[in-house]
Amino acid sequence: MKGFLKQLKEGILDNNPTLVQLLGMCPTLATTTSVKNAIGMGLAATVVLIFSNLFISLLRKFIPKQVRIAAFIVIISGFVTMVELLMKAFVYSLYQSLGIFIPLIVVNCIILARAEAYASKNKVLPSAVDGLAMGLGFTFALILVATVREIVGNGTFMGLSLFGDGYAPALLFIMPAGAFLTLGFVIAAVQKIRNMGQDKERMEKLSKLEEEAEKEETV
Amino acid sequence: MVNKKTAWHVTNIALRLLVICLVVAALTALVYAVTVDTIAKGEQERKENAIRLIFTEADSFTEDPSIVGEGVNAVYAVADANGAPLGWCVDYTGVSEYGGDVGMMIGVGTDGRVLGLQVISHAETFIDRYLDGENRYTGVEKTYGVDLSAGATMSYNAIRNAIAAVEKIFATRKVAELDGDDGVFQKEQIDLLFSGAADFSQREDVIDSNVNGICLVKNADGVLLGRCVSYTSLGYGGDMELLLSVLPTGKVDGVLVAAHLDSEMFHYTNDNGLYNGADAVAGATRSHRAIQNAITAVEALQLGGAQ
Repeated sequence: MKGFLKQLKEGILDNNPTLVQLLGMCPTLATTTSVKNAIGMGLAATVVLIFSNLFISLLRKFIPKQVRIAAFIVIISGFVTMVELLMKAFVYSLYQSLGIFIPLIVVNCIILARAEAYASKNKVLPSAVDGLAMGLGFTFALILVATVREIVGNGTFMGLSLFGDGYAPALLFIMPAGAFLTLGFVIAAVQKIRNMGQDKERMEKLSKLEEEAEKEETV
Repeated sequence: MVNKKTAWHVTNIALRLLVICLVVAALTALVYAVTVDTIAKGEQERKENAIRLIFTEADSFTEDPSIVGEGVNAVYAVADANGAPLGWCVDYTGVSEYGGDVGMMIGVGTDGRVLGLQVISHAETFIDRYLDGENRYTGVEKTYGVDLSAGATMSYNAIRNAIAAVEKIFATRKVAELDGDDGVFQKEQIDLLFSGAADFSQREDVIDSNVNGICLVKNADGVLLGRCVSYTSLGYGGDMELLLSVLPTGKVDGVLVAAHLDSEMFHYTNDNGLYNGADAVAGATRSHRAIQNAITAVEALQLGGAQ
């Protein structure tokens, strides 16, 4: 259980694939014009991550090392196709909103990176949990960026108007340039928060070392 | 010379990759089998909803196989609850310069003009700027509130090209229908050209290869008001079907453009298709010349004499 929670924390915060590892930039910039689209894209990628990690981990001893990337791509593209068909059948409005970015999940670096770095080297359950953690981390990053862009750039959240008809939205934020700016500021903010925690630990270590040094001198 | 061990090693790798591909393909086929009917049903419902959104009075629609064209998947003749024709809905697949297909339902009125358009399917990233909440083309760039008639984006061009293509298909069809031996005269058209017209059943012999038909137009007292001549003239985009009102003196009094393939014709016609007598406009002189040639040719026939 502890290991499971540690993996989740890794994926969502400490080693977030988008905000820390800087993977999956293309869908992060393109599908975050609204929170609804961001959630849809994040969940679709999470499902693909879980099942591809699970499948690759199951077959890790069967997949030849020499053609592992080709095998990973076949498996990932198969699951993306399945997700696309299911979305087209059961959630058509979301399928239409995400459009070309659904098949582009195949080339999302996060999925291939986790397949290569984790699923191909670990057992089935931890791999599935890793897929879940990374997927949730990706979704979290998308929601953060989309929240800023939709509120500032459109005056809405999840399609609901927050400021009424009188609000003049900053259209830049729903344009590609605004996507880059927002993502940059969000990454900077996350790094600052992470560093504050690490800085505190370093300062505490330094103070302890200084105290020990002083004690030795007095002795 | 490849030794047996290496050959078997490579074969082993290839076979394993093949097995993985087959398993993935089988799983994908299974999901496809589960979803194919739902997807097809959803597409049919979206098409029917699109027809009802474009033609709010639509009660029935039947496929019309006689209307074909590039990009046209199917054409449905739409009628209201009384069976009166409202127009057609064209199931059209346009191509975006991004390379993706854009599936559209385009509503065409009985006059051949596009009334509305709804995007059914697409893989465009920015097309929703031109669509309202029901995926209908609004003609306006939603985010900026500016009509991008300059064709600023590829998605916009896909929609505009589709409208132009469908209007051309229906205009060509109308031209072909009217370009007949007897000429086609409709009461609404006669009423536009002749005030007080009551009877136009009597025909006269055709005496020119460009003339499709001539009918004598009389008022309620049987007095000849003039002749209506159905004439085919050559415009910029192709044949143009005109109806000319000829006075008993042989002078052309008015021209109605019944069908044409010229994109610039709007310079010379009112909303009801009547020639407005405008002088030639730069960039649209061939359309103007087609009308002027028709007037000259019909007046040269010297049609006249009271009946």
